[in-house]
Amino acid sequence: MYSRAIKYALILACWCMAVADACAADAAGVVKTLTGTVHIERPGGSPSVAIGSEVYSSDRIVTGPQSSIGITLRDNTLLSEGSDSVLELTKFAFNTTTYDGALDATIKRGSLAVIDGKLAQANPDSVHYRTPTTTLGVRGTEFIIEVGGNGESAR
Amino acid sequence: MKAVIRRHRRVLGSTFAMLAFLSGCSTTPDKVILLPDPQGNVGAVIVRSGTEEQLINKAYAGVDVAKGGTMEKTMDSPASVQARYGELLAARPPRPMTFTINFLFDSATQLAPESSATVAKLKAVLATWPAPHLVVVGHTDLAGSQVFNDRLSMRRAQTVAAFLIKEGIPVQQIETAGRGKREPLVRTADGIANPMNRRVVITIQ
Repeated sequence: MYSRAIKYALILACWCMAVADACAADAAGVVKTLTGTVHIERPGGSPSVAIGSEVYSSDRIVTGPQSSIGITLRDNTLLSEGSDSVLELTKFAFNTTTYDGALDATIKRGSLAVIDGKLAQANPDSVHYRTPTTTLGVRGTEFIIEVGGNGESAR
Repeated sequence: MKAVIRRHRRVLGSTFAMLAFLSGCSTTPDKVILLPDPQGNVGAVIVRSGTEEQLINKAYAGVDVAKGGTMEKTMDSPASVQARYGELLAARPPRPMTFTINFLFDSATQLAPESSATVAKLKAVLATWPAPHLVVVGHTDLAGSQVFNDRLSMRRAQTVAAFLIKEGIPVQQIETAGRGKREPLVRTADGIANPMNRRVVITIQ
């Protein structure tokens, strides 16, 4: 009986540490522009979005009609997402000393404009942008991706 | 009997309508369009879908990718891109700006005299910047080991961060890092001292 209580307490303690860890993790970027209705879906909750809000790896960023959002990532990558769009920031890591890291983002629906940052300049093979059907490799540049039709309908 | 045939026709008709609708959706391609930077420079994008691959490397060149993976090269103009994507482009964050602080002699603590003027300019920019974040990165010349220079560059960054805080910039807006001797401003052989390379670059994000 006691041993079970201790076991649960331990599990709870581990879980709390994991949560604290997740919160302490570095933000991938910061919201710089915002119009209309935008929300972020994050494991464990959907934070409200404002200019200055932080964006994390694994965030799913959803814009409504006549809405947009602009995000600066820590390596100077600039992203903007147009209206009726779904962007998944699958992976972002960047080391300011070595410029090692990875960026993997999928625009599931709608449109995305990108201005490459330091990661794409130093390690272009570690940067990938995707649509449901297409993969893009970048070589230090600026571009627009628009997903055809309704893309992958939002879950 | 006739009624059965009629009903079949109706089912067939609606099936065709449905197919036409579906194929209508699937023929809207994904579009990729390459843009020049403000100086007119153009990089490149490699587009892959299924087994096909296309490289685009000219301003306003693009690729249309059909759902089946078939690719077609396209060429837009500044006006057509502005008309179709004006709002998307307007939503892009401001381009990061950099300011460089130099050091006296071989110091990690004594800033060059023009630093105050540089910080005054930086503060003027900060005043209009949305949710500003300052990345303060120290650099060294190529004299000394990597480990030594990593530490020295970090000390330089911290010196500048302290100076910025003293000038009234909130501490929570400042991030420091040292890049050691990995990114000299002036390329020299390893082991060479060079005052231009002893610097801190502040990026406003």
